[in-house]
Amino acid sequence: MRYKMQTAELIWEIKNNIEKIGRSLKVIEVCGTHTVSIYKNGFHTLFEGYIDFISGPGCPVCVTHEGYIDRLVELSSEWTIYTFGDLLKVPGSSKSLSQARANGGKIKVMYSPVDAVEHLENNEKVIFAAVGFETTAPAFALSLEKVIEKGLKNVKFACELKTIDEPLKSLLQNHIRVDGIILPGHVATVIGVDSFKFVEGFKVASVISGFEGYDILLSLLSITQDILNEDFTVKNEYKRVVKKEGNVIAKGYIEKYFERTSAFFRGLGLIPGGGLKIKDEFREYSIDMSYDNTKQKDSLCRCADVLTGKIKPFECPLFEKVCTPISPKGACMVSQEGSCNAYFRYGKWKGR
Amino acid sequence: MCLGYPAKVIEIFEDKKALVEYLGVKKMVNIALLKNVSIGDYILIHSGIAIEKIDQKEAEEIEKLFGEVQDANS
Repeated sequence: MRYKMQTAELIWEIKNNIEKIGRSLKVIEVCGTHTVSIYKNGFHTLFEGYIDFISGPGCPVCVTHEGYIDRLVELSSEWTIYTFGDLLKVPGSSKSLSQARANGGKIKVMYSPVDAVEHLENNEKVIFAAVGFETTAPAFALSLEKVIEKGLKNVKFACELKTIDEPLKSLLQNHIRVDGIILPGHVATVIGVDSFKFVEGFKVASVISGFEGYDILLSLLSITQDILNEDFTVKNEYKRVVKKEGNVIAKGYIEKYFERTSAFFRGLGLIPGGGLKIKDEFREYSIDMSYDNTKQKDSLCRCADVLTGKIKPFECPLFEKVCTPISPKGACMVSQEGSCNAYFRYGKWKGR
Repeated sequence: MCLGYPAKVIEIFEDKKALVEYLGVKKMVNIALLKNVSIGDYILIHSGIAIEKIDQKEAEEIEKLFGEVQDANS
């Protein structure tokens, strides 16, 4: 029986370990679903003074450049854009996809790209907005395979898929010093425990975590024990799903259709090897999405600093004043999994 | 974005599809990424695709404790 501690005992044990360490800890999570779980369960207040939680760049919507949105808006006059709902309200430099749709742009929300392909007709001109990390990449690889099988000639993929390892390396090398990392459970489901071995070189306690409140607590216990024992090997708390080698079939699909490329991450800039693009042999299914990633819309939005842990959401001048989930000004407020959005809904900050 | 939900396999079809049930809702999902899926298995679904089988024994052990955190919050 691995799980023998009751919740209260677990919380006590975590705090006790931190008292033994003798200082408060900085813990970063790099998955939006973890962000929501931490705030929703009130762990940021429960461990106040013990753990400072930082939300890293692990929500694909939050790190997407506005130039990508602008290209999709532009293309939506001629092509039907299939997108996940998460992307709809992300501000472009002039319009979001949602606003473009209101102005007559052809934009459809999909639940699954694989299901969407099954319902496409031969002559439909469709672009799939392929956004996500390695969890989502196999879904787009399967969709591309189905497009090829069906012989659809007018279907393209606007590939903006991301990988987790390179941005995480950049974050740990150049941006932030943390004591512990809660690693993304569903990315790990695909790429496996071994793909995170590189984290060990940073001498940081790390653990692959599930998403329930109890999972987060077990992961925090693991981080505090590892700091006490100076053990920096990657741990896997999400054993019920994540395997050492990950999902070999899913990884095979990614390797068959995609290859590494540079990718822009809000807060981190251009990361070599941080993205996936469609391989040359399948380039007829790819659409050119190049945009100038050096240009940023002039805005007071501090999303980039939030994503790298430099400031808390409430320290942004726009937060709660003009930037809210109903009228978001930045990507971290747009996404249900963004740290500003989670902070707005479940957070506690001065003056409230 | 990387949200996944666990669902129980109710029926398996050709063309790598399965009918699954989650919280009383039934849905067709793609199981091309998994080997040896059987009726009664629990699988993790993301974007309409099963990305992994769930270890039943591990899941049952931890599931008992999930409710506790919720209760502590209410």
